[in-house]
Amino acid sequence: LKQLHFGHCVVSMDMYEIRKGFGEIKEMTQAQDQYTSIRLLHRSYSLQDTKTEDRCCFFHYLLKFYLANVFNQCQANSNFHQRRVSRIANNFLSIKKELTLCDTVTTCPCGKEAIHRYEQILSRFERMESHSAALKALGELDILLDWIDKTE
Amino acid sequence: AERSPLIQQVTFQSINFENILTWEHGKETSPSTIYDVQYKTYGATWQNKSECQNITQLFCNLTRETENYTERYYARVRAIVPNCCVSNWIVTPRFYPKEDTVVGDPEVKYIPSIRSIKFIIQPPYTPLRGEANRTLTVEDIFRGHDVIRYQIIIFCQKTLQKWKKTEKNKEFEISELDPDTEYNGTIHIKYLEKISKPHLFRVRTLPDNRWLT
Amino acid sequence: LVPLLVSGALLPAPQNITILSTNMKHFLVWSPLTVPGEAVKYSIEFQGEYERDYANDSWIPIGECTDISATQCDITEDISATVPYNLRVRAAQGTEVSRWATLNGLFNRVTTSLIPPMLTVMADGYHLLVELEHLGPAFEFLVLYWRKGQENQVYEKVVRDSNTTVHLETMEAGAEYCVKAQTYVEAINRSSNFSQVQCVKAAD
Repeated sequence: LKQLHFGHCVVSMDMYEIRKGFGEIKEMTQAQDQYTSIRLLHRSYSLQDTKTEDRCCFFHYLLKFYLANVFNQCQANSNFHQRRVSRIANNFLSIKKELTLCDTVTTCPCGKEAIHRYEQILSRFERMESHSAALKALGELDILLDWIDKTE
Repeated sequence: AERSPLIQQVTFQSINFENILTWEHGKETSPSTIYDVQYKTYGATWQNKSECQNITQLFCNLTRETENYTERYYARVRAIVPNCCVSNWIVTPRFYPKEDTVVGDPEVKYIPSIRSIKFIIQPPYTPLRGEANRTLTVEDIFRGHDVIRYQIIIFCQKTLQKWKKTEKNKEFEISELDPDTEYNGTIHIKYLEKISKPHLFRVRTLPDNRWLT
Repeated sequence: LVPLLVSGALLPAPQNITILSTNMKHFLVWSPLTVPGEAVKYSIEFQGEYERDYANDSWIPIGECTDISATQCDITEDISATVPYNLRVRAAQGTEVSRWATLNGLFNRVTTSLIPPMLTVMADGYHLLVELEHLGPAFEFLVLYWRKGQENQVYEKVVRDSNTTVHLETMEAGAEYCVKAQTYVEAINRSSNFSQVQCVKAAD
């Protein structure tokens, strides 16, 4: 379990379930990404390098981005793929619910940096055709998980 | 009939961060076929690997080009049949050294005594350099990302018991063993929920000749 | 109560759908349909909170539990987050298909029942060893051990992968040591009760 501390609030993430689910669809998903010169989760907007006070909000944005724009676009493939995406999506939702609780316990301030970083990612995403973009974002999940791992 | 592909199985083979691009030629590929190699960081553009243009071998060392082990990379190969044709580029899966490299078996020194055996583990070296140009081991690399453990599974020939012990340090001693008895087993490095190749050992404790003197 | 079909009527939906969940293994169970004619096959679908909130209330079939003859199926692989899940079953006979019957109430894996672990304590000369049952990657074991007569000094070891006998301690000659263990599931932050205590004696 990875625990993220945002002020007085602690969010726990079952990294094992998420990495297991992603590990089983990673190669298939990344192989379908033909636009290898584009990277959405760019190193310069990484979560761990975000100012501490902005991390909670930026992380909340990333969770909502994946829940609303990515997972439901990638469910079509096979039943195998659909079930793995469901595993990841429901774990993301579980984290988001904890983070939403956080909002009531501690502030999750959205400063300029958090908004700017999220907008950089969203604008790259929206410049692509929606299904290809969703597939690329899903294929970059290991980048997001690394960011989370590195976030103290 | 459709020709068999000129190139197959384009992949990175990585052990201890030594990253080698390898491929296979098709069944009907002419012996005079030559190959070009390109590589890229994920999100960037393709670059030629200068030492691997017009080559006949079926591998190319891209260790230096992929030395940032927290980055993601691609490589691709195309075949050129002189006076004939050029194949499409065949691309590798996305390659992520930190996750995709295999950690080889560690070297181990053992110092047996009458009732104990001391183990001294040397984790595998990588081609990567740290401060003052020091050669880094796999432990140096993964210690920054996770807790490293050393797992010994030891089997006693006399009691036929096998058990496992997990250690934090590279040097440790297994004590309270039987004199003049053979012990064998394996030693692994545990990192990032993964495990290295096993080092196999076979050691005999010393005979207890003290009552002779 | 086993539904009996009068010929010509629609195939009834399965009944008495329940979940049996022990040590994070979840089985969906239901009553068999007794109907004349061809064999009856059953299929299960699941829906997590994500599917309800973000994917238009969609349902996902479970491949291994599709068109099966048994009246139970292991759904552990798909109950893979600590959120409430909906589950439903339907019957099929030839081309005829029943309505979906949905589990009464949502299921959250946090309610699984955790049983004290089985363990075997051994002495290999002066080495105190414990063998733990293999329950899968979701489980850790908290192992407590002490020297008999020194109950106030208890040692503990957390064991994550339990597929090999684990070395606990190097014992003093002739002394007796006792061991007990409980499981802990980090994903739901719950523990089982402790196992029975087992004691062994070191070689002299």
